[in-house]
Amino acid sequence: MSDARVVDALGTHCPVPVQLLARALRRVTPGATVRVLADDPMVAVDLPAWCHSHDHELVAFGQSNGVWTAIVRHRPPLRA
Amino acid sequence: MLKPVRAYLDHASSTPLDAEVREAVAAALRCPGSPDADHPAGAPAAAMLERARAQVAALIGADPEDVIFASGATEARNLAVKGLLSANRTLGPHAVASSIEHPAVIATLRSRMRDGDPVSFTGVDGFGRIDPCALADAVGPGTCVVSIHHAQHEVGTIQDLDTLIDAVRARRDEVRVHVDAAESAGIVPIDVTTIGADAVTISGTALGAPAWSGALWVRRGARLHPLIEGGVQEAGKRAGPIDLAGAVALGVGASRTGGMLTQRAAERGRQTRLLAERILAVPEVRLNGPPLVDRLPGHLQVSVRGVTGESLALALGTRGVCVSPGSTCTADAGKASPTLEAMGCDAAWTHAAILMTLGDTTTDAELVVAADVFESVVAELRAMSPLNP
Repeated sequence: MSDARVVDALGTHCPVPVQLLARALRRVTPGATVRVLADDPMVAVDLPAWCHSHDHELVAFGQSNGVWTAIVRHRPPLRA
Repeated sequence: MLKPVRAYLDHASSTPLDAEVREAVAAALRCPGSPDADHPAGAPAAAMLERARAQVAALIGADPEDVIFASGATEARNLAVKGLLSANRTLGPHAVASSIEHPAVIATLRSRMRDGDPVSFTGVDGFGRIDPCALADAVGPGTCVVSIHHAQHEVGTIQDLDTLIDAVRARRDEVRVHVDAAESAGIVPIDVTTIGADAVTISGTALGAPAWSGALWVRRGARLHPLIEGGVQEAGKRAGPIDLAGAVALGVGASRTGGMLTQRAAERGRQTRLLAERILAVPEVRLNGPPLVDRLPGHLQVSVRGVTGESLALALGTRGVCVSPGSTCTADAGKASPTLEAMGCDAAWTHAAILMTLGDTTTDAELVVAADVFESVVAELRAMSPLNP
C-alpha cells in the first residue's frame, strides 16, 4: 500500500496533528491514505477518536521509540 | 536634509527589490482571502503560497512540504535552534555552535545557557574557518543540536560543510545539525539532499527579496517544536497568518536566482575584486577573512588602522556612501567585532572594521565612487584621530 501523503507532525502538540491530518484528507481523493507521524502522547487518544467521529478508517496505528505512526484512509461521504 | 545615495554597499542588511519581486508582492497584497481558507476567495492566495513554497524548495533541492516560511532569517534561526532543541530533548540538552555564528544563533544559545542547558562554542582560525576537529570534540553523548553557518555574515568565509557535518556525525550520528545559509543561499549553491543537515535557514536579502522574508527547511522526521503555537499554518511549525507578500517575494527571488546563480556569483566576485583592489591600496587597510578568491562573492570586510568602524561608516554616509560598521547585524552595538576577536585579531583591528556588501543592482560606477570617497575620508579621519599614531 502506498501512502498518498505524509504528514510530519513531529514536534507539534494536539490538536495540531489531528488538524494537519484533517487538512491532508481534504486534499486527497476518497480511498487514498495518509500517513501521520506524531510524538505528542495525546495523539494516541485524539487521533483514533477523530477518525471514528469523522468516519475515516484508521488502517494502522502504532508507537515505536516515542513516534506514533497512523495510516488513515479517506472514506467517501455517506450517501443518503 | 537627506543626503543623496551615491553608492549603496549594504545589500546584506537590505537590498533593492527586483522589479519582478515588487510586482509579485503587489499582486499578493491585492489577494483578498486567506490561504488557509477553504472558500473560493482563499484559493488564489493558497495557490500563490504553494507556488512560492515550491520555488524556494527548488532553489535548495527540497520537497516543498518541508519549507516553513518565516519573517526573515533571524526568526528562522531561532526556530531552528530552539525548535530542534526543544523537540529532541531525548537526545540531551547540549548544543554546539561555532563562536562566529550570527547573533540570532549566539543569543538563542546564550538564553538556553541562562536556563541551565550546557552550550559549547568552538573556535575558528584566522580566516574564520571552523575547525572540524574542535567541532567534533565538542560533541558528546548529550549533544542534541549543532548549529553552523555556510557563509559567515561578517567576513564571508565559506565553510566546508561536508567535512564539518561528517565530523559531527562521526561523533554522534543522531545530532540535529542546523546550517545557517542566510548569507549564501542565492549566491553559492546549496543542496539539502547532499549536505546531511536537518535544518537550513535561508534569507530574502541574498535573493533580491525583502529582509523580512525568509524560510527554514526542516528534514522530515527531524522533529521541531514551533516558536509560535495556536494553529496549523506552516504544517503546525509556525502558527498564525502567513505573510503572503513576504513568502511570494522569497519565492520569486528564489526562482529568479535558480537561473542566474553562476552568473550572479561571477559578477559579484568580479565587482568585489574591483572594489578591493582600490580599497586595499590605501595604506594600513587590511582584508578581514579569507582571500578574495575563497570567500562569499560580494562580501568585503576591511579594517582601517587609526579610525573606528563606526566613525568611518558615519563619515562615508555623510558623503553618500552607505556601508555597515563591522557587521550589518550588530551595527548599533558600538562594540568590537566578536567575529574578528574570535579570529584572533587584536583590538586595533577589531574596532576598525567596516563591511561592504554588493548586490544585483551594484554598478562599477558606484564602486569607483565608493573607493574615491573611502580614500579621502580615511585620510581626513586619520588626520584628526587620536587613535592614529
